[in-house]
Amino acid sequence: MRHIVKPLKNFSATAIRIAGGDYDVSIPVSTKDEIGVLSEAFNSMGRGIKDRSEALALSKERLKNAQRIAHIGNWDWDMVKNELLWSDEIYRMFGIPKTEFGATYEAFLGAIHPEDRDFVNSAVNGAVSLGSNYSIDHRIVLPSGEVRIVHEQAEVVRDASGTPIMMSGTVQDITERKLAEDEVIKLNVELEYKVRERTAELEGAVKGLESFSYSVAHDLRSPLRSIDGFSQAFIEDFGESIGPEGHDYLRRIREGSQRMGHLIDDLLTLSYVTRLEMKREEVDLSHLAEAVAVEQKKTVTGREVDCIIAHGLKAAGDPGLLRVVLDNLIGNAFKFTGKQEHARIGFYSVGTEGARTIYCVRDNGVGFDMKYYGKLFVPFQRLHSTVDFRGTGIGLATVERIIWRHGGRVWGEGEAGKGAAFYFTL
Amino acid sequence: MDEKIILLVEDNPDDVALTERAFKKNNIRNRVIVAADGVEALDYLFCSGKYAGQTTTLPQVILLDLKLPRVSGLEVLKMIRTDERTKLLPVVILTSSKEEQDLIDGYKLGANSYIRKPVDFSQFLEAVKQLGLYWLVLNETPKKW
Repeated sequence: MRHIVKPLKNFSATAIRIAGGDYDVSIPVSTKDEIGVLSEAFNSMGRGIKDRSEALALSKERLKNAQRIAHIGNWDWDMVKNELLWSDEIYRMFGIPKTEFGATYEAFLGAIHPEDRDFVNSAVNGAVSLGSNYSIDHRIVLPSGEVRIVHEQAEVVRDASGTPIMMSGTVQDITERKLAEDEVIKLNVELEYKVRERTAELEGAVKGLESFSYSVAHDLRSPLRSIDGFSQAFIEDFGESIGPEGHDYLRRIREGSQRMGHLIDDLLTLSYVTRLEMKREEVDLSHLAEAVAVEQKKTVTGREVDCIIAHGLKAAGDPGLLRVVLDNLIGNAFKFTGKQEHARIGFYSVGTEGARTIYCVRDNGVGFDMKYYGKLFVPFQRLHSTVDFRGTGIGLATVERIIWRHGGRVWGEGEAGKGAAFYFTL
Repeated sequence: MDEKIILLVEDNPDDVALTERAFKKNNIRNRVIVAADGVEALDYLFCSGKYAGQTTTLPQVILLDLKLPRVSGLEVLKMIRTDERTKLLPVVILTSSKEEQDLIDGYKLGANSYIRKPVDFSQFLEAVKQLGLYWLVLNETPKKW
């Protein structure tokens, strides 16, 4: 009997120690009978419990760390007993020592900012009685008086009859994020205000420019009409008495006023293409180029011009503005091949630049010296004298502005006496 | 009542002289009433102001400049088109600019034609010739508007 009673006493004493949390126990295994087997099993159980409780402690520690780092705490509210269980992180977040917290729902409400209390309470009631989603931001007041902002998310647990018995949730301190968001909102409002202010300024400037060009269009031309008209009248009425020199002077006066008329028109076009509201639709460039070439050919006398225009060149853009581009580039090609007995002008594509097609207008005309390339697209800059080739020097500047407005670029290549090529993308 | 009058609304005396010269050169011998601004034009049409108490003959065509002192050309056009007596009168805008907005506004308010005065007087002569031929000779209007 003693063989059985003594080991049993041992077992119960050890079990009590294990229950008390002392897992470093083992029962000496002295026999190989059933008692011995049981002792072995008992010891193995003790080691198992020790391992698992160590793992549990480690896991708890890791959870605590994670909560501390993420500023997230979790809570369980036993609604039947009105007991609130907070994780350590919530105590830290709320600045309340564990011992001073009543651990009830009311104690929790006490920590909430007075202005947010009703809101939080009704959100909890909504989740409990209506089953609505509980995900809210609210303020809390720390014992130090500091106000923090937290985000809460929770679920209600119900028994088989649907009665809520428990609510579990998380609390996250989002004060820094909220402050950053508020700062972003504030900056956005400021930015919007500034944009509005600048837009108003810009609109004012555009208005000024518009009224300026309106006045140019109306007022600058009318004195030119007087100069030209009365010079003509003078020639008609008194032509016989002024001699050839007088005629020559008057011819120069008329030519000057007409040239100035063209300048004003070209300037207006330049300002027009800059401020015009742009359309974007599919434009058949080949078709446009054909139309321009037909127009240009009407002005050609005493020489041959071969126009080779590739078919099916299409682009997205403003048809009116692209017409102005081709009017200028193809018009220039006609103009600068003026001294060529057999002129050749081509319009085609020469590959791509990224996703954009490169278009090219090429001629075998007088060309230009690349040394002066920098002046090519500058308004009023000309690389040829007006005696050789008429013009105002605004055409390529206009082309460049239109191309820019389409998001593309334009460039040229030339050699004196060997023709020119202008490339553009859209 | 058969007299075909031209009402020329133009504030610039040079332009008035050149337009009259262009009429003469093109053998257009109709009487030309010159209104130096919008107010004068409306006074003539509605027998007010300096034309008060007179019975003026409605013109066969109105040549209307846009940029005028006091009442602008577009305002004149608007008032012509809103008055029962004048709303059908042919109005040709004859002005310096071909600003897109002027063209649109002009046609919107009911202009019958829009002609830009060219700087080159030879071209201006040609324009006036066409204008006179069309509005004074070819174009038929009812005896009474």
